[in-house]
Amino acid sequence: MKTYDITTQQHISDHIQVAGDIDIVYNIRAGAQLDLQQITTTKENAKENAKDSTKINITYNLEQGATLNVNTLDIDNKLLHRTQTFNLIGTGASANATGLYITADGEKSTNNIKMNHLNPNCTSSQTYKGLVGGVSEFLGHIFIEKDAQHTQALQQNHNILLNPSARVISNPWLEIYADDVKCNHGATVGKNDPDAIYYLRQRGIPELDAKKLMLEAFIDECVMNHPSKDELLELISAKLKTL
Amino acid sequence: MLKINNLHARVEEKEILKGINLTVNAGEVHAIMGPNGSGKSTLSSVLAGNEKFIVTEGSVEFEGQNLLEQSIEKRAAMGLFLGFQYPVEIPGVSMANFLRMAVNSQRKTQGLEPIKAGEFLKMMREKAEIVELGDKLMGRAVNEGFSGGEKKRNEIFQMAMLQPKLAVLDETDSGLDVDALRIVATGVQKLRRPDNATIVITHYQRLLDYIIPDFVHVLYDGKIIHSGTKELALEIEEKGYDWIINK
Ligand SMILES: Nc1ncnc2c1ncn2[C@@H]1O[C@H](COP(=O)(O)OP(=O)(O)O)[C@@H](O)[C@H]1O
Ligand SMILES: [Mg+2]
Repeated sequence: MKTYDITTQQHISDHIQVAGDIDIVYNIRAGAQLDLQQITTTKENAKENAKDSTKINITYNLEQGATLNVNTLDIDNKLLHRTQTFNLIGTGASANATGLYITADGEKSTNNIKMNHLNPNCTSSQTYKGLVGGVSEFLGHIFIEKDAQHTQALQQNHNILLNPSARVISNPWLEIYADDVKCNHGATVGKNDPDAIYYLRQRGIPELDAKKLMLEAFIDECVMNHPSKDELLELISAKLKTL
Repeated sequence: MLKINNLHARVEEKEILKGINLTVNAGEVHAIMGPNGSGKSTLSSVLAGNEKFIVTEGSVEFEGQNLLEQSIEKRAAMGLFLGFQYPVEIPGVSMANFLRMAVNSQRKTQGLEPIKAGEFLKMMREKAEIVELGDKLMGRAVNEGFSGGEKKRNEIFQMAMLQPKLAVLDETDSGLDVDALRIVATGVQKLRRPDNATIVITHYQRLLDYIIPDFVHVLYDGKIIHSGTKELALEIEEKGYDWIINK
């Protein structure tokens, strides 16, 4: 397990080539800020050997007034089980989590979110999107402690199915013990809008380009602020070709 | 330019077009009128290649080619444009990006280089003026949150950008107030050229005050049951369709 102490404002942008389980703790001290961007892909040979899920566990401990912006992009993996635990320990802490997962037929991804509001005046948001050709699971737990008044917690999970055998499991779980909270969540599972594809094609855009354009529009909010956006779009584009 | 011969089409198990015959030459404007549910939108969908509709009989020739064999995007690149009765909202896809892709895809099919960025922007600005669409809509997602009138003007703007040989405008005048109608209609009028043609599908004679048709056809129950010149539209305005249907 690796532990990092964040005491100022820090920006970490990683591309992890997954080879085995990963365990990381980030302690974000009072008033500090962490902006974390993490792309995960699995090497082809590691994919072939994958029998059990590779586990990525990340815990974030946010002290008073700490800020976290995290963006995870699970693009090309065989069996990936990602758990992120957010402990909003200090008052006024703020966690903003976004993520994208893409699975092809025969692949599975899990995103397990535990958002723990332990003290008053904290805010959290989760926006997770999936392009799903295999199996994808989103488990979003929001826990709000009795004392954690004036909490704001939002959760959105949206998925597009890429083929008839694709499967999405979207499980929001709200566990709220405080009474003065603002909480909302939404989940959708759909397909690329056929009327939009028809409209684009009628203007001369070939079918495959039209579909790709729609998928890029769907994931745009997960990738638009990424520091290595071009590299990222190339990875995604390569993956989409295999779907 | 367009030759429709004995065209039959169905959706699901229901036959909707029951033998349409229509010839459109370059330079002409044809108006198609008819009560709701007659098959006007179905005809435009079949021409555009909408896969919900199955052609069961007949043929369509466009620019000397068998139109029905071509993909939707190929038909567009051949110069066929459909102004949608209900334009589709496409969240996340900007107008500028959409139009650049559309213009360049069509150019590619026609064997042309992609348009230069500066030239494209200039063209967008010029064409938007034709339908009095402001710059601010260009930064927005395609049709998303556009008012009814803006959506219809946006259809004509796209037509101006793509410069089709044949435009089929499906009730582009419906739901417009007088000003919007004037803007849309004069826009279409400005785009008329001796080498292109237009089919306007409409309920109202008022559009035809601006876009003077060479021919007016009445479509009823999947067939063209009557054709005439622009005076026919006035007569329909006055007397309705019953006198034609009952003939
Ligand atoms: N997608 C569809 N599924 C089933 N019926 C349809 C569909 N589209 C059109 N129809 C039917 O076809 C007939 C003609 O419709 P349409 O072409 O929209 O008429 P118009 O445009 O002249 O009002 C109507 O009876 C309509 O209900
Ligand atoms: Mg109609």
